[in-house]
Parts: sequence; C-alpha cells; structure tokens
Amino acid sequence: MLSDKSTFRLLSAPALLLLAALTVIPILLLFGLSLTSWSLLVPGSFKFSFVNYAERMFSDENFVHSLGVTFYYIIVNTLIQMTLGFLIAFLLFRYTKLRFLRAIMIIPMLVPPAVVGLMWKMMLIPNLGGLDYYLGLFGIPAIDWLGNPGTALAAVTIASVWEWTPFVIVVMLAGLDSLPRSPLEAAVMDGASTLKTVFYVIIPMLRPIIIVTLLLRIIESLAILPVVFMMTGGGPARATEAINLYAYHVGLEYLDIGYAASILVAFIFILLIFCTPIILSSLKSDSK
Amino acid sequence: MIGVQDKSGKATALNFSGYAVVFLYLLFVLYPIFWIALLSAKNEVQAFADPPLFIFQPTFENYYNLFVEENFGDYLLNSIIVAISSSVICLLFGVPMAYASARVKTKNTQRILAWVLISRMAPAMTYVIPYFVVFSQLRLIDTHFGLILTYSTLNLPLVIWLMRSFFLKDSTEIYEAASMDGASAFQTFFRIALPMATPGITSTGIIAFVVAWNEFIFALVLTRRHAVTAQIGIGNLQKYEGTEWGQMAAGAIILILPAILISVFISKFFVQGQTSGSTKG
Repeated sequence: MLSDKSTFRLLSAPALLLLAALTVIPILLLFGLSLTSWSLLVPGSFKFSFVNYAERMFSDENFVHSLGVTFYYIIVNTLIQMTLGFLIAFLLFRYTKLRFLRAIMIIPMLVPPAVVGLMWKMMLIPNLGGLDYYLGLFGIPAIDWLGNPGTALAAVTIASVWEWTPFVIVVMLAGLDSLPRSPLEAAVMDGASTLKTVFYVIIPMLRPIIIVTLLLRIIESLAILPVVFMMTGGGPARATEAINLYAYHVGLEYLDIGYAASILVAFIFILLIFCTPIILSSLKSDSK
Repeated sequence: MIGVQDKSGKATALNFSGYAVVFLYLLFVLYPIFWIALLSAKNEVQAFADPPLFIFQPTFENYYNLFVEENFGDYLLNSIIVAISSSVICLLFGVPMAYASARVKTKNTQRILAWVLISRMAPAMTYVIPYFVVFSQLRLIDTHFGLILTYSTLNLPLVIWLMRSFFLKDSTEIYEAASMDGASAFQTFFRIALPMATPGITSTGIIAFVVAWNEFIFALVLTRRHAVTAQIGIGNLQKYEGTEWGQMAAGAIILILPAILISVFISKFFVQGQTSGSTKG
C-alpha cells in the first residue's frame, strides 16, 4: 500500500505536469525564439542572432510608441478604476440600504472582453451610438470618437473602467466589511470628518488589500488586448496600440516570430518592473 | 459617520450627493447593456433614428439572421464544446491536486502554489506565440483539442486555488478519523473529501466554464475556420461592405447571457454566505 505522502504526490502529479508543459516550456521557448531573427516570410531566417535586442527594438519607433501607450493604460486606466472603485465601495459600505446593488455591479466583470470592446464601439459610432444624442443635449457635437487618436484612447479607457471598476468595488467592499469597528467609531467620537476618517483611518487599515488590488489591476491593464482589438484594432494610426497588441501584429500578421518574441520578453520585464516594488512593499507590510 | 446619523443640513446634502454618485455609476454600468439589448431588436431604420428610439415595434430578424445568414450557431457550438471540455478536464486534473495541497502544509506546497498562481497571472500573449509555433508543427491549430489544452493554463490554476480553499474549510478531524478507521489517503479523498466538496466543485466548474467561454487571445491566434469560437466569430461580423450592427448587438446579448446567469448564481452564494454566518454566531 502507498504511504500517504506518495498518495498526495500522485494526486498532484498530473496537474503539475500538465501545467508545467503548458507554461514553463512556452516561456523558455519564447526566450529562445527572441534570440533568433526568424520570420516565416523569409526562408532560412531561423538563425541565432542578437539583433532584436541590440538594434531593432531601439530603432523601432512603433515599439517605442507602443511602450508609451502601455504606460498610459497602466497609469490612467488603473488610477481611474482604483479611485472610482474605492469611492463606490465606500458609498455602498456607508449606505447599507444599497447593498442589493452588489449583484448588479459585478455584471461588467463577467461580460466577455470582446463584447465589452464591441459594445463600447457600438455606443460610440456616430448616429448609431447611444451617447451622441445625450452629449448633443449638453452641446457637445457628435464626432467620430474612435477615429481621432486622442478620443480613441479616452474611449478605450472608458471601456476598461466600465469593465474592471466592479472588481475593485467587490474587493474593497469585502475589505471595508472586514475592518474592525472600534477605530472607526473612535474617529467619529473624536469628531473627525468623513474625509479625515477615510484618509487617516480607513485607507491605512486597508493598505494590504489596496496593494494587492493595485497589483492585479496593473497586470490586467498591461494585458489589455481584446477590448482594444475589438474597439479600434490598435488604431487610428496606432494611437491605442499597446505593447502586447504590437507584438500580436508583428508576430501573427507580419509573421516576424523572432522579433515578436523579443518584444514579449521586454513586456515580461516591464511587468516585473511594475510588480516587484508592489510585491516587496506588500511583504514589508506583512512582516510589520 | 458609520451608524451615526446626524440630521444637520450639511449631512443631508452629503448623503444626497452620495446617493447621486451611486445612481450615476449604476447608469454607467447598465445603460450600455440596456442600449445594446434595444439595438438587437431594431431594424436598420430604427437603429439610426434620431433622436434614439426607446419605444418601437421590436423585431427578432437580427437574431434569426445571425443563425441563418451567418454561421453564428457553429461558433456557439464550438464555444460550448471547448468551454465544457476545458472545465471538466481542469476539474479532473485540478481537484486531486487541490486536495493534496490542502492536506500537505509544507513550505514546498506553498512554493508550488505560488508558482501555480504566477503562471495564471502571466499575460496570455506571452504564451500564445510559442503555442502558435509548436501547434503549427503538431497540426493542432484550428482544433478543439488544441484550444482546450491551452485553456488549462487559465483554468487549472483557478481550479487548484478555488478548490483548495473549499478543502481547507473541512475540519482535519474528519480526515484523521477516517485514517484511524483504516482508510487509505486515496479512500479518504474519494469517499469523504470529494462527496463533501460537491457544491464547491459545481461552482468552480461554472466559473471555469465562464473563463473559457470569455477567452479571446488563444482563440484568436489558434483558430482559423473549424474551431472558431463565438468570441472571435462575433468580430467577423465587422465587414468592409458594411456591418450589420443589429446582428452584432444580438450576438453580444447572446454572449452576455452566461454572465448574467452566473451573477444571479453568485449573488445567491453571497446571500447564503451571509445567512450561514449569522446562524453560527
């Protein structure tokens, strides 16, 4: 008969092997491919070369531009989602009568990302869209929102705020519910205003949850692809093309596999640059 | 503030603006879905009417054409096949591992679980180019099997983490009692832990289904014609010669339905959680 220990190993083995085959091997392969100049359109181009990292990336304006768009998404989308999410969660926490809205609020999170993109595209198409008429009432002229670089970027932000703010609300509300009551009551007793209570009592107490949520939101903002793909396809004039959509275009439309792989390696490094400090600071607050 | 209601005019004004913000946010969340639902029941003239129509003679021709003129039915069938297979396979592989990781609480288990989580958080784009290269060699492009396989990167970690939390809730005394009575670890798993975890398995399975149903990037890169899922198929309705927006709206509504259903399901869970918590106290 098997010992308990080997039984547990046996139970875990299939899942671990499958997951390793599907995640570790591709990442190693990705690093390998990034060191080649392999393009499916150029026969015999499968050669070891450092050219992607040494030259191409830094002379490629589109790559640099896609970096800028990526930083825009990380900073603007995440900040709006976090602020709005916290505000709504706080209001739901305060007005307990509104709690039944919680189930409705999570709907956007579950809507397929492709549909989120198409839905907001349909909302913003002149004449067809459900927004122009109301904006017209406020004297804002109907324009082709998705046809101008600046407004297209804002449109993508609105769609991503629509999609992911509910996540922040749900997590923050759970966090607020789990807070001990006494510090809050003490603050009220001492006559602290609502604003002061939020900034000096609630936010510091929620810090670990805020950090984890921020981390997840940043990762998701980096990976934003379906929404952009469906709304704008990265245009107009690459205005909404973040780094992973650029890698998609390079690798799977121009079939420049080696270069696309090196862009994705750069992408992984950006992910690490943004996430490591957040993880470290969360570890620090754990050990306190 | 909390639980302390003072009746001064300033507080009333604050309360009012708070409610207004929540109301506006709710409008922001619900209006697009409501509006797409209307659009899906409009004909072309109604769709472009100015000012927008809210009361009109609804038509189901968009839904009808979606299945008759376009092959949206095939796309939906592909989505259903892939999503069900993926959630079943990931439950089969993941639940035993979840159980083992809930029972063995060592540093190594922690490390493995962290790795599982990180592999889930890596953006899909970083996996998809290697998959594309390997699948082209193995002739797995545009097959259900290839897609189901890749969805394990999303669903296997999900199943492991969610089911682990269910198994952690079981008291260890039950397992100890079982092994006292001479049950092997296998028997404890199959006869005791699994039956107790049925509700958890159901809800985890449903969540895994929705993840696979909503997936976009793998389906975009790894399918061509036969295995195209509805998430990709709906994008094919955008055509150079002009897009049938009504049909696209109808497709969007069909794809949203599982989301609406699950949110009802999950909210039931919320209520259950709250009531069971209150009886315990």
